[in-house]
Amino acid sequence: MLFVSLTFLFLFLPMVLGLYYILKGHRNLQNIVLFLASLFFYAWGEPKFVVVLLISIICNWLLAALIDRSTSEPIRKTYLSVAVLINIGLLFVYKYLNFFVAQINHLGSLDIQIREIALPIGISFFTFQALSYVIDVFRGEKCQSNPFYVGLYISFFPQLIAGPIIRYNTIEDQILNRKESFDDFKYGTLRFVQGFSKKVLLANTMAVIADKAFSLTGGDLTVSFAWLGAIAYTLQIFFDFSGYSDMAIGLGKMFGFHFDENFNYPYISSSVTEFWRRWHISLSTWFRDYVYIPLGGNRTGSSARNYLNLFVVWLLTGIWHGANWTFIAWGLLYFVFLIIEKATQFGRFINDHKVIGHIYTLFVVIMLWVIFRADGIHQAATYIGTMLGIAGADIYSGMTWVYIKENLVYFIFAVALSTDLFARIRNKREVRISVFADIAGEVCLAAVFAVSIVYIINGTYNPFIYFHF
Amino acid sequence: MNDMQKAGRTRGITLLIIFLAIVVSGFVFSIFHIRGIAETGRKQLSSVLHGKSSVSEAPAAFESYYDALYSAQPWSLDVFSLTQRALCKHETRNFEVLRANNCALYLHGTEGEINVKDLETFADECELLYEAANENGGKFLYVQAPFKNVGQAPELADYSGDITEESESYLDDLIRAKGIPVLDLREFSECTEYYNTDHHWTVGSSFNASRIIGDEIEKTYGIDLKGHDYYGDMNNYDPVTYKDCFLGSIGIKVGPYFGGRDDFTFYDPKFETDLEFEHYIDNKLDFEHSGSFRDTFIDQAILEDSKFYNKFEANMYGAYVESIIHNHKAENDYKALLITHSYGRSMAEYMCLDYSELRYLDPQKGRYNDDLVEYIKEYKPDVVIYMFNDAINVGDGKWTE
Repeated sequence: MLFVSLTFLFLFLPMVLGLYYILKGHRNLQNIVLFLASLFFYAWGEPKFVVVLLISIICNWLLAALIDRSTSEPIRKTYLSVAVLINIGLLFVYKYLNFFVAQINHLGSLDIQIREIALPIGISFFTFQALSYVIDVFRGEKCQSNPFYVGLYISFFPQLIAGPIIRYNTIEDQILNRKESFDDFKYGTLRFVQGFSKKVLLANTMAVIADKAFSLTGGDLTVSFAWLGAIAYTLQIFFDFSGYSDMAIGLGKMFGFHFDENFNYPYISSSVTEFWRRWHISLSTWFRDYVYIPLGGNRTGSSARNYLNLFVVWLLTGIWHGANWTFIAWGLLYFVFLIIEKATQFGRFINDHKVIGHIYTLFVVIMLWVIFRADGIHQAATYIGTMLGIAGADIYSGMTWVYIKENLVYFIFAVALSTDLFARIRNKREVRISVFADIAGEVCLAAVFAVSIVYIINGTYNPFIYFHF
Repeated sequence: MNDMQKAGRTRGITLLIIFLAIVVSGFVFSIFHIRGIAETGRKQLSSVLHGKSSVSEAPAAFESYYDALYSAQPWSLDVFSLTQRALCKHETRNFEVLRANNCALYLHGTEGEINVKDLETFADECELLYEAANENGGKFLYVQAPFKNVGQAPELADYSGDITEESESYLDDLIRAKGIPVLDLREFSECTEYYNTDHHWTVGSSFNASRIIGDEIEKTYGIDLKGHDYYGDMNNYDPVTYKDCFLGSIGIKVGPYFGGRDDFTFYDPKFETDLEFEHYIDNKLDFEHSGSFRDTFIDQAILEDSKFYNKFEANMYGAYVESIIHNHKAENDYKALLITHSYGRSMAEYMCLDYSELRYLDPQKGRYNDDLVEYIKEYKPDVVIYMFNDAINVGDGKWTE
């Protein structure tokens, strides 16, 4: 089920919220309601994959319990290995097997046939979340004996299919002892409305432009339109994903849960290193805590080993996003730019020259989003060649101005909201006028929300990028 | 309590109230439609249980029904069209609908290369009809209707590269090359007026087209359609206009504030008429009307219903399959067959004045899909006017699936 659907907004959400607050004072019943609602939410998208989710919940709960009860280190390690194998195995079968077989066939000139395997939505998110729980238990964190609570942690619908990836220890206490408050509900509403509007009005509009650009082939794609398409995709993926995260955080607040932020204005970064501290924070943190640091991080005593650790992390980051060489290339190119910033004077230079650093970062991020968005390496190379004016394409076509002119208002808001401009203004505002300014702002935001709903009703373009991961 | 504390306490309340009001309104709206929602849910469940559809199709089917409950509400379209207009947009719905400077709405249109193979097939089908008409000594005229297309709005040139005109001209040439008389109405500016919000030509354009077609038949075949000059003179009609009431097929996609609404005008004869009009579906009489022009052809109920936006349907009571019109005041005894799409609805009501009997078939899929060659052979019309450029059934089984 999509958050930005009428079924969610006018049926699922009011029913779950209503039932939840009717049961106030009965925490266990409230948790059961949330768990069952989460399973229903997931089943709505693809009913048969709810079995995959349940298997993941049961296996991870069981293995975590076994690890917790065992005192023998080799046995604990064995259980952990089994958990890793099951989780990665699930991910491999559903997400990578088709790709893997295709590469084997290609390399070995073979013709191994397997049926096309559909991808359970959000499998990368809930698998990583489940895995983090078992690893944390192995590391000595508290184990949850009640499978329903583990189930609720893994499947809680606000963050089930597109994150943020939550660590169990951050919400363990909240499962039983959270305190819903009026202020949290207000704030949750604000975040949900913001995310909903960002997704519907900005991400979806940018998607129209990006999809058009990436669908053009040969001489139809001009240099100017290629840039427009790449910039539109850069904005689309930000508002798509951060919009979803806003909605997830907001919904969590409505039910008394507090999730960590997943984005912090990534496009204002003045280095690639900073960009990754601000983009998809929960994924970066996951890889840091469960891959990079266990490998030794940057304290191995050997530069080569440190770089190898980084290489592994970025290779996995690329692979995590999807079974395509474009994602692998995207991840590894980030590795290259991060190494350049760490190992050369360039990192210091951009740190001293913020404007240049900012331009450089945006350039790299936009170019790499092209690779990320392209259907294959060939399309990515052609598209970037067009952007750089080396593919023999025309510089300009009237279509570029049409797409800018038609979406100018969206572009202005998209660019402004991708920076911390409004946050700065808000922080500087005079307290004396803030009550009225707040009310006016909220009325405007509510109007934008209402318009977003009207867009949904009228069936405007509504893709969701991160569901595929 | 200081200002800061006051601001903190009130912050978010307005938004919360409006948010809850919207969500609760949506929920209450659902409750009002609970029977339909429950029935849809039951049908989907039953369909899954009986193996008629897969479990994964059921939610999508339910959402489709549920979404339609909202999209059927006029306010949602009104707000949508207002926002699009406020943003000064000339395109909406992902470039599906384009708006020219004069507020005329266009569909995006077909881009790319013309489909030569299809056009050759259409020309071959036209030739079969031509031969069938000739077999009985009937006269045949292929008419190229003018179609509203985005190419007619130069300011939208960068929005869509439409190939409609190019494609139609190519078909005309193919048909001419077969020795079939062709009349290209695109060359007559009086036939190229369209409703801003609809894909149809206006009743005025179709009136003029009827006159021009009659002129062409008289000129090409030396037939004297007695009374044609009188019936083709607009001065012999009273225009009847319903102001600002028509939201056509394109306008209904984008709402009334994006491209506005159209007036709807028809032309009521000042002279006396005596007409009988029957509409058949699958050879069964669907409805019949007779009497004056207005009583016979114009659905007054549609024109007077402020909630019925598609006023073009008022022409010939929305006839869409096989229409048979007897003109008891005809000054000749010619029988004519008009084969065309819905453009014919507003044209047949004037064209019929030139003949003692006019039959109008709409060969679009789902309408009149029997064999047209056989129809001509059985009916033996004196004149066949063919104004269609898509696949038809000429006995090749195309429509038999």
